[in-house]
Amino acid sequence: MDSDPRKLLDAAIADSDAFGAIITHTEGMVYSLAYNFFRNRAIAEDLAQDAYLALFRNLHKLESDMHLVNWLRMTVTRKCIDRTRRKKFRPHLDLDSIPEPRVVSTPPDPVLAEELRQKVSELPAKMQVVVVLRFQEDLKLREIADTMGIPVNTVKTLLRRALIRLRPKVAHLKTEVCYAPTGR
Amino acid sequence: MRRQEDSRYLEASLRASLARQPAPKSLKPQVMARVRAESGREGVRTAPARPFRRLAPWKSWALSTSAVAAAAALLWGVLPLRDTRTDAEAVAMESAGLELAEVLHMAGSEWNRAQQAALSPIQENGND
Repeated sequence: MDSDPRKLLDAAIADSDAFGAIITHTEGMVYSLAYNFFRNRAIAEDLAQDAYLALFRNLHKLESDMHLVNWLRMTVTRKCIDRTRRKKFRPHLDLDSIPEPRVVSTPPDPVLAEELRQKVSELPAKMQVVVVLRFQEDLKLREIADTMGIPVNTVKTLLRRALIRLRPKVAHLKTEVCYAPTGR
Repeated sequence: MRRQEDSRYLEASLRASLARQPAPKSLKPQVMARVRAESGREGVRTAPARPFRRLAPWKSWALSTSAVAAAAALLWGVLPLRDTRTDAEAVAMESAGLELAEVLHMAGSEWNRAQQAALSPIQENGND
């Protein structure tokens, strides 16, 4: 993708069947953004499909493969926020909340990981997007601001408040998990 | 110190918890089906139309020439009609004007006579 900045884009514009290559390159990111937001596989898949269809309709507006990835990221996060506003979606515990096998790394503590996922999904929508973009996509604050179309200082504030909300839970769980098995 | 440790632990845990998930295998076929359906509906995808883009020099020359020719043909066809129509209108207006003047004159004469007939006894009485 780096060798030719328009390789995927040009191929998809020329032939709609080549659009599959774009999906292969980006489906992990797109699906995970939606899944980490809603904790629901069906909604995440539905939202990912909508995002790809929107991408297909807007291919001619994009300038490079990197632009394509950023556009997808921005579209998915906006769709997540829109859906939350429209349906007042509240995460619920069901079979979808069972942890899936990790791709990148194994969480240090499964209990803490699940608790964190739950707490993140209960954050306000914008705060949630900032946390997901920061810790899933590993974006810098400036990149998050560009993706969300908000000032960097707002991103800093949202991230700080989100971490403040999450920290007590972590401290509590960390203490429980670390010391409980020893029986002291 | 404890707070910093908690922060680092929190960030590490968040990274691990929010790591990318494998997308379901059904996602790609479903998207491709919708994409094919959409491209089938639209036919062959072409570049978007740009109505205000700059024309090639020969195209602009051809367009301006044809516009001038069309304007000339229009003037050639319309102006004589307009002249005859103007003459006919002038004749009609003139005859209508004459008729109107005649009618007014007759009406005025009648009114004058009626006035004179009505006033004459009063004037006579006033004089008495």
